[in-house]
Amino acid sequence: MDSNSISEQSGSYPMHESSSEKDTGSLSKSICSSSSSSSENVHGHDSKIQQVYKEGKEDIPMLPGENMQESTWKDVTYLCPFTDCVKGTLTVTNYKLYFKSTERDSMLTLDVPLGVISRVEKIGGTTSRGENSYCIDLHCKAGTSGGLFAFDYKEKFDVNGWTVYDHEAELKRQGVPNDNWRVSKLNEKYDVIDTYPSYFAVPKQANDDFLRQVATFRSRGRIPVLSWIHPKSQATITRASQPLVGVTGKRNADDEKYVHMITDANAHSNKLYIMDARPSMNAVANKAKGGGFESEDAYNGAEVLFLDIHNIHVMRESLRKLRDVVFPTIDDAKWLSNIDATHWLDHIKVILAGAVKIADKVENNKTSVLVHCSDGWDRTAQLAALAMIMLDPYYRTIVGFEVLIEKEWLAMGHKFAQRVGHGEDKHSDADRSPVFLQFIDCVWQMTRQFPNAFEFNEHFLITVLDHLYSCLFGTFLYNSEAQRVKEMKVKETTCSLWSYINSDIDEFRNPLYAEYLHNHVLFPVASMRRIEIWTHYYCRWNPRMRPQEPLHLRNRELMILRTQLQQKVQEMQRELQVKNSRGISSSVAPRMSSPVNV
Amino acid sequence: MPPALTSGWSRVLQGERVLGEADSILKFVPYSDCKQGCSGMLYVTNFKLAFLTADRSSYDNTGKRNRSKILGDDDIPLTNIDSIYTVSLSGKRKKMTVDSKMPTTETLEVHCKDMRIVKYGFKFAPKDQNKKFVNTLIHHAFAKKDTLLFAYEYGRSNELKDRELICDCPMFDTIIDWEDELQRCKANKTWRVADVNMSFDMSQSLPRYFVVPTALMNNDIQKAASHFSDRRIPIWCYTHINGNSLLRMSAQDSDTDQPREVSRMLDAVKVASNQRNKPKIVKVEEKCPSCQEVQESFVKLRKICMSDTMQEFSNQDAVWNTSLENTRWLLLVSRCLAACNEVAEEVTGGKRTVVIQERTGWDLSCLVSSVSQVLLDPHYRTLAGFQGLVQKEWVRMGHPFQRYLSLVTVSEADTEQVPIFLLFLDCIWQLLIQYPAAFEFTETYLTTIWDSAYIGLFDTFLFNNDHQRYHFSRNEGKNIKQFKLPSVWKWDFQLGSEDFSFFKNPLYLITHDEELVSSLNELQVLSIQGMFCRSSRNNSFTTSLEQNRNHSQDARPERIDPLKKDLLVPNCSSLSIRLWTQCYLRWQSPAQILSGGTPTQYLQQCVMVEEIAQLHHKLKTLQLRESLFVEFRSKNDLIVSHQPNKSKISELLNSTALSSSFPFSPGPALKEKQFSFTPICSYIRNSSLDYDKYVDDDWTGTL
Repeated sequence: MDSNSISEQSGSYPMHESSSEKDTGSLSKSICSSSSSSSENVHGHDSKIQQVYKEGKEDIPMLPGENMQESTWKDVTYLCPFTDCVKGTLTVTNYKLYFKSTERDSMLTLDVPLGVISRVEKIGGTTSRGENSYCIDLHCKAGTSGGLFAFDYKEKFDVNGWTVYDHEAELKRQGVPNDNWRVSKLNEKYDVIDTYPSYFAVPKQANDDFLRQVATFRSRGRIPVLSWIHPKSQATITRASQPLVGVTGKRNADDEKYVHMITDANAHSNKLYIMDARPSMNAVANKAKGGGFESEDAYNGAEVLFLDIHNIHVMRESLRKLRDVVFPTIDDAKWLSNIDATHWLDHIKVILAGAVKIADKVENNKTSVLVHCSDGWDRTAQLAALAMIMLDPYYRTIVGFEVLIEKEWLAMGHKFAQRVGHGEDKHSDADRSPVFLQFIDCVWQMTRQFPNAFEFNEHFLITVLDHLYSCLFGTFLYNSEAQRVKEMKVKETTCSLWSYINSDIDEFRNPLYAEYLHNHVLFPVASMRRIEIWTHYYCRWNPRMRPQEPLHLRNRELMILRTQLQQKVQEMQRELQVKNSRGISSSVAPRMSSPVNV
Repeated sequence: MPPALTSGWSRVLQGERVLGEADSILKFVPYSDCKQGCSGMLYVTNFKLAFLTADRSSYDNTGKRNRSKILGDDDIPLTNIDSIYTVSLSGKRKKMTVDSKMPTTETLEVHCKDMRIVKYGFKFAPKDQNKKFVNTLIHHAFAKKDTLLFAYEYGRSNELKDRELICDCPMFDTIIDWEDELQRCKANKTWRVADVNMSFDMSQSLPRYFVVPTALMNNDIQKAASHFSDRRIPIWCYTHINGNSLLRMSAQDSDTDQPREVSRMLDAVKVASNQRNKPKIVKVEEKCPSCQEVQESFVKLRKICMSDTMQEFSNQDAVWNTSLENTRWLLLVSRCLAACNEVAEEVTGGKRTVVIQERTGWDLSCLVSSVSQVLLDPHYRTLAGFQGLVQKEWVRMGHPFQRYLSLVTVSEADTEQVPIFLLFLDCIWQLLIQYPAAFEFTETYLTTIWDSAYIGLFDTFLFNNDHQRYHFSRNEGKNIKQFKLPSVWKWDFQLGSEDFSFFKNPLYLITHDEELVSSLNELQVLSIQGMFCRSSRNNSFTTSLEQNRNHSQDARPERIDPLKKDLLVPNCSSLSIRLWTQCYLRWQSPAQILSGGTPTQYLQQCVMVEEIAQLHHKLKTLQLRESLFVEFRSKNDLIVSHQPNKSKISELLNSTALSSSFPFSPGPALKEKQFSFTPICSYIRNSSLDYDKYVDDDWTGTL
C-alpha cells in the first residue's frame, strides 16, 4: 500500500489554523497563513496579504491573479518534522503549494510560495514499499521571467510603492548637486556601465568623457560614485568595484586623478580611506585575475584598509551550517557552541565592525571613505548601506529604509536574481548567497541594540525577507536596474513590495520609535556579547520558540491605546467646541483653534 | 578623620574609621591598559575602600551624580572585595594574607564580587605608605569572623530611628506576619503558627515562628523533629487558591523505616490540604543542580565576564558563545526553572500538595519554593510581595547568606561563593523577559538587590540564619537594645526617590492599575484585556501549531480555567534562556552600547505610559466638566514626577548619553570625550509629555 507524502527535506514549514481569522477586527489585516521551505534561504514567507480574496475551489485562499495549475491530490501525508504525520489534500497554483489537513482534529494548513522552494527531491518511487516512502516529485516553477507570479499578481494597493525612490529627489535630500558634486547622466541608457543606475553623482570636476576613461580601469566599469555625503563636513561615502591592477601592478592616471577628486571634494581632510571589504589575502589573490587593490604609493593621500569580510561562498556555507543547527531539531545542550561553529555570527560581527569603521571615519575624522570589494555589489552594498543607517537617521525610518534598499541594493546592481536563485532550477548554484539576508540580519542586530532608534519593527524586516523569496512583488526580481526598467518594465507590470507595506504602514511601525532621542549617529557594538542569533527569523517555525508574552506585543498595545485616546480626546474637543460656540455666544470665544499637538 | 572624608561630598557612616591612606594614587580607566587614569587619594576604612579624586571640580559637574546615598561611585565596600592582586617587579600575585616582606606594589588590582575590576597605580605614592596601605587593606578586606564585620560596629552605633527601619513588606519575624500570610492564602483554618522554636531549642536553622498543620501539637512536632536533618520538619510555605499547599522539609535522617511520627506529620499535611491524595514529595537533588555545580559554574561565568584589557576582551569575544555554554550557567537556570514549573504544574494541574525535600533544606529548596510561588501567584510579582517572599523563603528559612556570599573568610581554602541567590534572581529575570508585563519591578531592581547583598550592611543578607542573627546583636550574652541594622527593603536608606522609580515597570502599571483599566473600559476605548486577546491572535505569524490550538480554545475568555489564569509557564529551552547582560556585563565598557540597550527601551515605555495616563486624565476631565479647560495632572500620579522644561531638551540630549549599563556604570570612555551621565528621569522630564501644560499656560493667560 503506497501513500503519497510530502517530505519536507529542508527549510521551515508553517503551521497555522485557518479558521477564525476573519474576526480579527480592524486593527490590522488578518494574518492569514504563512509558509515556507527553502534550503538555501532557510526561510519562509508571510502571505498575510491573502485576506479573504476569492475563495478558490475547495476553499483555497487565492490571491488576485492566482489560479490552480493542476488538479488537487487527495490523501497526501505531510511529514511534519515536529509532530505526527498529517493527512490532507495538496494543491499547486501558479503562486504556491497548498496543503490542507483533512483530519478532523487538525486545522493544519501549509502554504508555500513556489519562489520559496529551493529544491524538490523525489524520494522513493511508486514501487517503494511501506508507508510514506513515495514523495511527490514537484518542479519549482518559474523557469522564465514570464512565469514569475509577480507578473500575474493583480492586487491593487492604495499607495504606489514604485514612487518611493527617485534618484534625483534622494540626491537632492542629501544636498546634491552642490559645489563639489554633480549628477551624471552618462549611463542614461545603461550602455556604459550595464550594472549601474541611469543617474549617479560624481565629483564636479569629472566630466562624462573622463568618467568613460576611468571606467576602463574598474572591474565591469563600476567607477566610484557617491553613496552619501555628510550634511555638515561634506565627507563622503563612495563605492566602486576593484581597480584592474593585475599581477603587474598596473596604474591608471585617470583613476588616480579621479580618486583624488573625491578626496578634494571634502575640504576637511586631504586624506581618503579606501576600505577594501575583503580579507587582504583575497584582495592579493584577485590580482591574479586582473583585479586587486589601490597601492598607497599610486593614490596620493589614500590609506587602504582591509575589512576581512569573506566571500559569498563562505557565507553560503555558513548559512547552510546554521540551517542544520536550527532545523528541524535543536540540540539544547549544545545550542550555543553549535551556533559558534557555524560562524554566522562571526560574519555578522565583522560586517558590522567594518560599517562602524566607515561611519567612524566619516563622522569623527571628517574624512571621506571609498568602499569596494571585488565587483562592488555584495559586500560593498552591505557596508555602504549599514554605514549610511548609522550616520543618517532618515534611513532608520520606514520610507528611508525603502529608499536605501532601492538605492544601494537595487539601483547599484546587487544581483538579486542570481543570489536568491529566482527562476533558476539549480539549487546548488554557486552564485547563490545570502548577502542580502546578512544585511537585514545586521540591521536587525542594530534594532536590538537601539530599541527606539528605528521606525520599523522586526515584522517589517521579516516581511522584506519573505518577499525577497516569494516572487509576489517585482521589487527584488532580476539583477540590475537596466534589466528591471529597460527590459522587463517591472514598474508597469508588477506591484512593488513598498506598495504593500506602505498601504498598511502601522503594521510595521516600532512602537518605541523615538526620533527625538536618536537624531544622531549610532555606533553599534560589534562584539559577540551584543550580537545574537535572530531566533524569531531563523527558528520561527520551531514550536518551542515562541515567548509567551512577547515584549513587542505589549509595546504595540501601548501605541494603539495612545492613538485611540488621542482620537477620542480630539473628538471630544471638537464636540465641545461646537457645543460651546452654539451656546452662550457672549462668552469668550473658544480658542482651541490651534491644533492640539498630541 | 581626614578633612576630605568629612566634607559633604563623600559619605561617612556612623562608626566608620579611616584605617589607612595613600596619596598620589592613579585610578586607572578600565580597558586603558593602565595608560589613563585620574589621580587622587585612596583610603581604606573599616567599611570600604574609598577613592577621592584630587580634582574635586568633577564632582560639581551637573552630569555627575552618585547613585547611592551610602557609597560613592568610586567606593568599594570591603565585603564586596573578592580578591586582591598586587603587581610588582616580581610579577602579579594574589594576596590573601598580610605579608611583611611584600615587594613594593606598582599596581593594586581589586576584583569585586559584582564582577568589577578596579586598578590603582601606586607609582607616585610615597614609598612609606605603599606596603603599609596594601597590608592594611588585605588585613581588613577578609574578615575572619562575623564580629569583625563593619555591620557589627554600625549596628551598635547608628542613629537609625525605629520608624526608619520599618519596611512596607512583611518581614515574617512576628506571628502576625505569618498569620496575615495565612489569611491572604485563605489557609488560616487548617494551618497555624507554631512558636515551638521560640528560643531556637528545636532547630538552629529554622526561624522562631513557622507554620504547621493545625492538627499538630507542639508536642507532636518535637517528637517528630528528631527524625529530620537539623529538625527541619515539613513547614508550610504557601497555599494556592485551589487549596493545595507548598511545604518544605529537610531529609529524614533514616530513610529505611518511616517512623510513626513522620508519617503522622505527612498525614496532618494531607488533612490540612483537605485532600485525599498523599502530598507529593519533590526531591530537590533530583531536579536541581547541586551547590557544587552552582559554585563551579559561577567561577567560570565570572571568568568570562571579567576582563580588563582590550586584548583579553577580544580573545574572549572570539569564542564567546562556546565559553558561555561551557560555564553551564544558562543550563542551570533552565534546569531550575523546569523544576519550579514542575512544582507549579503539580499544584495546579495535578491538584496535589507538594512537599519540597532537600538534604539540608536551606539551599536550592529556597529557590524552588520561591520561584514556584512566583509562577503560581501574581502577588509575588509585586514589589512588596516579592520582598516578602525573599524574607519568607530565604531569610527566615536559614539560607546561609553569610557563608555563600563569602562575607566572612573562615579559611583561605574556602573563599568561593555559592551564589544560589543569584541563580534565583536570574530565574526571576528570565521570567521578566518572558512575561514583560507580569512583574511590578524591573531588571534594575533585581540587579540592585544583588549588589546590595555585597554591601554588608543589611540585616537581610548578613547572617546564615535567625539564630545567628539573634545572637549577633547580643554580644556575650549582653542584650544591646539599640542594635539596629537596616533591611535591604528599606530602599530609601541607600537610594533617592529617582533611583527607586527605576524599579517600577511601566508595562505592569498600565495593565494592573485597576482604576485606569476600568475607566478605560468605561470610556469604551479598547480594553487592555481585549487588546491582549486580539493582538496575540494577530501575532499568528510567529504562532506555532500548539499555540494555535490553544487560541482556538481560548477564543472565548471564559474558557480559561480561573485557577490557572495567573499561572506563569516558563519556557526553559535554550532558545529562550538568555544571559542577563545588565547584571553580568555592565562593567565591560567595550560591550556597552552608547545611547542604546534596555535603558532606552525602558525610557520610551515610561514616556508612552505617561502619555497614556495624561490622555486618559484629559479625556475624563473633558467628559466630566464639559469644558475645554484641562488641568495638568498632579505630579504624584506620574511614574516619574517631572517638571516640564521643553527648551532644555535638545541641549540635554546632545550633551549626555544613556548607556546600556545605566544606571550602574557611566558610558564607555571614548578617547578624549568622557560622557556625563544623566538619569532617565531627566529625559522623561524633557520629553513630549508636557504638551498640555502649554495649552494650560495659554489658557491661564487669557482667563
